[in-house]
Amino acid sequence: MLRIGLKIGLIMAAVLIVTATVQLWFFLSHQSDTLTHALEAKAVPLAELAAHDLAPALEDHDRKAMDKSLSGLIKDPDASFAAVFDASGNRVAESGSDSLLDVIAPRSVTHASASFSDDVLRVDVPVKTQTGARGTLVAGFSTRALDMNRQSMLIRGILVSLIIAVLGIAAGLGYGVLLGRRLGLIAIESEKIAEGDLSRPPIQARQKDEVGRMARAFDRMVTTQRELVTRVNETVLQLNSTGGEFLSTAKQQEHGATEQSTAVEETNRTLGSLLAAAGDISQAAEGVTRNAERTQANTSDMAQRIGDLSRQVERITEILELIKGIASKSEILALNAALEGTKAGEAGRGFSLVASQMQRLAENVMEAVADIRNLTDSIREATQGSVMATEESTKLSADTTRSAQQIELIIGQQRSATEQVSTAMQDVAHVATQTAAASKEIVASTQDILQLCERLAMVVGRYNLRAPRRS
Amino acid sequence: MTAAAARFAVVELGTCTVALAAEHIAAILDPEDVDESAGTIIDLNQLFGIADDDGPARLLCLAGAVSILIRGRIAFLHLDVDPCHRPPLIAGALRRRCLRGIAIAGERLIYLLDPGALDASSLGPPTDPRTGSRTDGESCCASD
Repeated sequence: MLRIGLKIGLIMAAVLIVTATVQLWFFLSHQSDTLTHALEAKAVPLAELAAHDLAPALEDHDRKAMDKSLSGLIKDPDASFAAVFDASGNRVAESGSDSLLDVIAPRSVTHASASFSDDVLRVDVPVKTQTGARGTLVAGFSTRALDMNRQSMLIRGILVSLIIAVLGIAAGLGYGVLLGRRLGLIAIESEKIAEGDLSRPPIQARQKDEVGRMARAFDRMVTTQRELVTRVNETVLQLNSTGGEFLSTAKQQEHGATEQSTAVEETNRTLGSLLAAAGDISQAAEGVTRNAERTQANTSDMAQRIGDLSRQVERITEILELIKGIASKSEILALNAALEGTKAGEAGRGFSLVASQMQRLAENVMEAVADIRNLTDSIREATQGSVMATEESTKLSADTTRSAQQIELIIGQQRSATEQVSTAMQDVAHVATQTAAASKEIVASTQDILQLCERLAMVVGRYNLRAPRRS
Repeated sequence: MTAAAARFAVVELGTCTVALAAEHIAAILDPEDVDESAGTIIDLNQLFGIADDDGPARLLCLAGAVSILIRGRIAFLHLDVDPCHRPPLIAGALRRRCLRGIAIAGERLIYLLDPGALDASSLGPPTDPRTGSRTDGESCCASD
């Protein structure tokens, strides 16, 4: 496995080599055209200048002058041959390589023209004289020097490319190694952190490039992770403690919910008994009400009868008064009879005896009346007591009736309320059962949470959270 | 005094027994039936200061314009009375000889009234019916 620095260096070297090759190819391909154009740019004016020099000699048919002009032209290092043709196409002068001159054929041109053929630049320039004689100068320029120059440029380009490639490889490798070393430092720190060592000192990179930013971000990440893990550790400890307390509370709640459910069931049974008792009490209250109403009716009847008795007693008293009055009158009559008998002396003695008997009889009647009067008084007092007792009894019966009715009403309300409470207690029992089940689930969940806390504590315990060592 | 046998109207006034000669009694009436013709009415119970009135009220009309109101049992008896003296007990209002004396009949002590002395003018002011007190304790016998 290649290191990232070597990879980066190789990539950079490959890129530089390709770049240099492309540049070399581009340079060579364009330099050939450039050199061709440069040769053409030199050859055409040179041929035109020679044609201008040849014009008088061609008009005079001065062969020597023409040879001299051609010799001057041919002295150019790139010139290979030169020949002058007259208007008829006859070669009137020539200079240069014979092998090339043999194959030259004149062309009728009105202005200078250049063309390549077999590595030779041929320039045809019209020669114009003052008398109108015409001719054509054909000059050949060899591209050999151009090819040699091109090869030389090629070699130099290759050398430059090689140098650039070598320098690029060296620079790439160097930069790659340097970059790889910085990245390696981050990788080492990452591996340490991956192993749980958060006590590593920060990298403290000062570079402002991406790797420096990455190193600083790595430092911040480590600091944040250390704080996070520390906080997680504290949270785990707190969660573990809280979870323990919560588990204890949940167990107590579960126990309480179970007891509550049992108590609610007991209360429900008690409410059922209370409902049954309320029903019995209601029936008893109804019986009491009926009895009280009956007692009230009987008491009223008794009061009426006592009233009748009282009136009868009053009537007896009146009769007694009448009898008493009669007896009193009878006694007075008897007394007067006895008085008259007494006054009559011996003759009235029997009469006096009868009167005395009558008086005694009247007195007995009056005593009997007095006795009866006492009895009627006693009866009256007893009647008045009975009336008062009856009134009291009537009042008591009415009160009893009202109380019994009120008790019946209250019992009915109590029964209704007890039924509502019973219904509510059934709901409470349902809720209590659900609460007990939920408490069990809470206990189980809390135990799961505590197990998760232990696992989390083990995970957090892998991290070394000591203060970072100074580098 | 000498003993005399006669018919008497004996009236039991509570613990006292008073006797009056029957010949002096004109009639016995019910007080409710009496009008102004009864004359002066002398309440004998009040005169004797006897509060008990367990007997029926009777009006003894005497000859003249005097009636005696009594509340007690009346009986006509033949008594042999021997008026002895006028004890101090019955002095005071009866000091003007309205009481002939005291007679003993068996085990009973009977006060004998003198009807002739029983008139309104001779009895003086009657006993105060509200207080029942007598005016003084002067003895009738002593006044004789």
